[in-house]
Amino acid sequence: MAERARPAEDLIAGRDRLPPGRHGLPREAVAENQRERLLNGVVDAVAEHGYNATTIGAITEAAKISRRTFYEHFKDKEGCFLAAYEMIDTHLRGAMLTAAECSGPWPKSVPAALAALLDVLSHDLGVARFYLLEPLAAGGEIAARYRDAMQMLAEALRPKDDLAANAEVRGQILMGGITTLIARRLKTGDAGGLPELLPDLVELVVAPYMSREEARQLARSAALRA
Amino acid sequence: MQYLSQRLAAQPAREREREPRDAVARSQRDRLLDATEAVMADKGAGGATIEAIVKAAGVSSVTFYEHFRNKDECFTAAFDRAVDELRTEVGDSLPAGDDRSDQVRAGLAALLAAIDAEPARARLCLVEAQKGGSQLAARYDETLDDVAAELGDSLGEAIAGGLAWLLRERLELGGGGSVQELLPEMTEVVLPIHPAHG
Repeated sequence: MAERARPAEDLIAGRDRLPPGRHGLPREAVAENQRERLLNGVVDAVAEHGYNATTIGAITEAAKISRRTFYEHFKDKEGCFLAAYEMIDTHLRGAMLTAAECSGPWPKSVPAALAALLDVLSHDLGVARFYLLEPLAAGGEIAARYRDAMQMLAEALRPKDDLAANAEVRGQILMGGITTLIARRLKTGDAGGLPELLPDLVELVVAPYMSREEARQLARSAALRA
Repeated sequence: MQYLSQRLAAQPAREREREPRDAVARSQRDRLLDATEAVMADKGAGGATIEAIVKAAGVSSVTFYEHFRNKDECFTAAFDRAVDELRTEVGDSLPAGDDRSDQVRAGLAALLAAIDAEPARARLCLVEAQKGGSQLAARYDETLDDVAAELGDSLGEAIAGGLAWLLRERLELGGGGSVQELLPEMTEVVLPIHPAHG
């Protein structure tokens, strides 16, 4: 089959290497394609080596991009990691908020948002590990970014009118609990099994706000959906 | 020529001969574990070198290697001892009977009091354990699994993980204040979650 000329958007959205030579793409499209490939490369490299052992060479090799081009886009490894983290975080939170909005008011939104979270993570072990396991090992600004992300996920899961003074502590315990359950699966490579966690996660999120029986019921209906 | 540390270790030690051998060994080991805890709290797991540990313990590096094959083994031993102490202190505080809310309150209060009483020990258990290499990190995970199993099913695991994370954050970022102010909030979050036992 003759190769069909692909529009620029396809090349950017996909993580393909651009054909060599003149391809008639505008400069920004080329740059965007390079950047996307580097972000994909850092996720792959970190999945393989862990954050601390990942070198810029490992990132550029995974991305099939020259070291010089890397430095046109990022100052260092941390910058590249943070940019990839930002993209994953935005995507994930977007998926959760969309699912929540489509399913009605809290607490109905909780199973939907959690299902979206587990869905995104279960489809890609590398992305999941990058998002949840690596940042604390990396430390510094990356760990700080992870803390922000977890706090925002907790906010996305609690009722809008919950202005309790202890909301922050509650959010930390909640996200610590959720990530512990998810991390155990990720460490054994079982990303595909993540959706099975849904009922337990639903119960964890809603338990402080309703009776035990109501919480169980919501968890049970989430189990049917999982 | 041998190492200086070996030369010094070869000297007859008068003090030592008076005490029974295993008592000496036990006290050396305890001092090494005390020192590991202190150095880790002070410099972080990354800064806790064998050199710094033996210096703080006042023993030679030869003595260090009589007790531990390497730094990982020493870290793990210090962690195990610290966790055993914490678990004993929390376990001893639990009231008889089967009122869950009494048990949760008493257990959490004892845990927070134990953390405040010995911040270096708490730091080792909750913060540095995840930064001191893969062997220690694996031991941390195993320990969290043990605690979770005692608390019940995966909701118990979530409680254990959630509290560990909260406390880690406080110890790491909280600037060394008391953790006991967290008791009402922790109790409020934990009580409504009911893990199933057995």
